[in-house]
Amino acid sequence: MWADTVTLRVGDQLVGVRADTDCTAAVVRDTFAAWLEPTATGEQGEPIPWAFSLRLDPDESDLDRNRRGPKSVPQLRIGGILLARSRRPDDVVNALDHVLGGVLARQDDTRRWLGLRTFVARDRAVLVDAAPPALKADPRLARAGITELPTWSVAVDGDTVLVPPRLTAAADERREAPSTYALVGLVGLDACSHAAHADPGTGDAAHSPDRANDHDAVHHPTNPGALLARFAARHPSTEWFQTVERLVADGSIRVTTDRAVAAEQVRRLLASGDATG
Amino acid sequence: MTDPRFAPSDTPLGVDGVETAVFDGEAVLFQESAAMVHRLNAVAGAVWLLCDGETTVASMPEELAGVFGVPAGDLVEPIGEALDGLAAAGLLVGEPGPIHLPLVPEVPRAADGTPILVAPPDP
Repeated sequence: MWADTVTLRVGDQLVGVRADTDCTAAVVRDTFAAWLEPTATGEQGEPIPWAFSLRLDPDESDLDRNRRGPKSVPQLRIGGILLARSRRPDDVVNALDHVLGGVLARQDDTRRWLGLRTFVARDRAVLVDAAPPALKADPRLARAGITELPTWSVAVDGDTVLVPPRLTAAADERREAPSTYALVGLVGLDACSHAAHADPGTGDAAHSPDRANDHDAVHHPTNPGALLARFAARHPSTEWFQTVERLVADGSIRVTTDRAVAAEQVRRLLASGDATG
Repeated sequence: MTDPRFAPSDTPLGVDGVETAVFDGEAVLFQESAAMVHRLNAVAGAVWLLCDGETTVASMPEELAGVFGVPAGDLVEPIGEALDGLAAAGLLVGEPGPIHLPLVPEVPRAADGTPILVAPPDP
């Protein structure tokens, strides 16, 4: 059972955040006191439905009493999609702050917002099309000094990625400017059942390289036209099309079905042109 | 058998506002007015580049025979199909394309009319 749902007014939207314990709900109310909207109701007087789920006390909540593993770690989800996970509850609250900042920023429709995950190292960013939890808190990336920003979405202006500031920064007179990164590449990690590679005659999932290659060519194509069509379709604008076209020409777009390969591609793209990378 | 959409003397013209990227063996187009990305095979991509309002349909096979290294006669049918496809997509002047009705999900609202953020469906 979830303990409570806190309603916030973020710009011109109401956002429901459900909390695993009363203590977690109190943290949300304290952190986002300026955005609380406790009296809001739906059109029929019903409570505002939750969009985000915040779990900070997995050891205390009924949700995880008999469960171990990833779900017993503090985490933030939108619907069923994992957005952030950390053993440190403060990190997860900070992620919610960033995500809500993105909810606010995205209401500015003069920018090109992309729903892609953002991995950064120093001043460079790679945008990744991969469904969580793949590559979440990936140790291979962490070892390379690469972090995933806890963003809802990012704006792209030419070859620059703009990451919205935290929501709480909006109430601060020293309001944070968007963080900017140079866009150095795009990576697609496709979820793919290995059964799709199996031999239909024998059902043998130990697929042959030829069969896997045939499957990839049809379902996960990596030729330039396919890459451009796939990523350009993420935002309907000429500017984004031109950005993706440049990245295709540079060989800076990769697609794979293998998580380890995807992590390596993110690392290589962020290290490209870096003498120390 | 239906009549071909284009007569040999027609000179198809591509609509304005289309970004074109040509690769070896295919082309990708972005049509700003329809917010659509189109992926074309080699013949359709080459035909698109010939839709300049001056090249006649009759001359297209000859123009492309050298490019593809095949007899012009072998290209008549694929070129016709490519022109039909471009027209159907609304990429040629004077050829109404499909009507695009964006799927805008109904946004739930609070009692005061404020939109409510809803979570996307589970992957």
